[in-house]
Amino acid sequence: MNIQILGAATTKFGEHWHKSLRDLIREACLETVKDAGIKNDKIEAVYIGNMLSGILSGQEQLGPMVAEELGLRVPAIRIEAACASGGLAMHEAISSIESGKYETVLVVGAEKMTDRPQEMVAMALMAAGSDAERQSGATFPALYALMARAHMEKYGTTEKQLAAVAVKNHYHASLNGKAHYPFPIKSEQVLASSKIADPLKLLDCSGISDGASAVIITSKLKIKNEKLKIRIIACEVATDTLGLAQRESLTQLKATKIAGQKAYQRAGVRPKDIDVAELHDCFTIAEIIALEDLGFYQKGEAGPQVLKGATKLGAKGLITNTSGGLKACGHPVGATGVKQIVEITKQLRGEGEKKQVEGAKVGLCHNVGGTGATAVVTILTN
Amino acid sequence: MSSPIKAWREQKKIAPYLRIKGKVVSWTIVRVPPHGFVSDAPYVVAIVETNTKKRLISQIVDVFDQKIKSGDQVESVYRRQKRPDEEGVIYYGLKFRLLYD
Repeated sequence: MNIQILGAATTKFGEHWHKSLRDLIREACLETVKDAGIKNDKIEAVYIGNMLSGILSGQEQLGPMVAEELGLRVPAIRIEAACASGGLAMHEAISSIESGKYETVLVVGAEKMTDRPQEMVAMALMAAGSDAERQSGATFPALYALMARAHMEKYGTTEKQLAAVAVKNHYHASLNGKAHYPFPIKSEQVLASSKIADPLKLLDCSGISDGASAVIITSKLKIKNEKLKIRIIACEVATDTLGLAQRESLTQLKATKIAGQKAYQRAGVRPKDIDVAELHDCFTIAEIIALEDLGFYQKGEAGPQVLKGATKLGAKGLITNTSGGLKACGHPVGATGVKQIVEITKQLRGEGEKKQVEGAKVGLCHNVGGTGATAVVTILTN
Repeated sequence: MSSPIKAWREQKKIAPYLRIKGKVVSWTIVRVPPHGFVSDAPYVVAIVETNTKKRLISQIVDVFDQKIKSGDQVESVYRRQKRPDEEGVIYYGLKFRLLYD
């Protein structure tokens, strides 16, 4: 696959009361075009990942909104796959280049979530689930709580191990100026935080954020500084049942396993070759399950390893969620999948600043829609 | 989004699932509910495996002191679901209750 990242940027994630969805998209796009060092007219098509603009902002047809902001009249396509909208938009953009249709494409992920009260956002997010899940009064924390309990009962995973994921990701976020929650927290704080859906507590959950991220990918344009050349070597997608109850198992995401295996095969790398990864930690249990499903640890081993600090900045081997992850960088759902690509690009360029993983050569992004109905795994290298 | 037509359509699917027995596979207590369920919280949501090996997601009702564990025996009941929306339709559907011996 001959596709490079030409430019990558993200807005700060957070509660942007003074910025609209359009403002966030404009900010991310202009910054990305600047990073790429090209003129807007080199962009031949636009893909935007977004989940909730229809329900929460009454705005659909986001493709032209992005094109309009850049003064373009090119094809502009909106992609939706719940929290994997950004990752799937990447996949579609890459596929469009591989097909030979375009050479240089802009990918945006964006979400505006904080204009509405929490119970409305919780209901809107449940659009990613099944009818039966909505009728049961389940929320996303509840669905992941069902997985967490099953994982705890099967493998002995503890609440303290879950808390360690949040502690690590908050530490990473404290080094990231773009993070929604850029401050460290302690394990005791996580364990003492109020219950949302037992056994998950407030600090096991990613927040509700606004934000936008963008990248420009190309098969043709030359990057000015050879040292900053980042290549995409795989981007694979798999799907599973919409509802959690119909799955083969509650303690793994089959879609993640399939997409991961396909991506490793396509890229010609193994899990042990990955230096840095952005994993979809919408809830702490999700990072533990992802570490296992992507082959970094055996089932049941990820929790103890995270508690030991094996995946924290400064440790040897794979470091996960240097951005702070969804947990602490924030989770504007459509933006997340693209933000992961931005973070890994910065890491592979050596532009990670205080959160730089020394000598990172191969990076992986893992983006999940719903409770695992869609999974996207992308692998990059420098 | 709900609608009266959808409620009417869904009702037809419920009958085969009434008074069926099963066991709790995994459960949680929803303390921060979505729109339509605010006045019911906290409530138990579980994955139930029926005696015919079919898995369903459902609320478990009449759980006293929130005492429930995986493996508990349950049976399905017909109950009101969420609060009526603007159209005023009262939604009914399946829930489960614990079987005490």
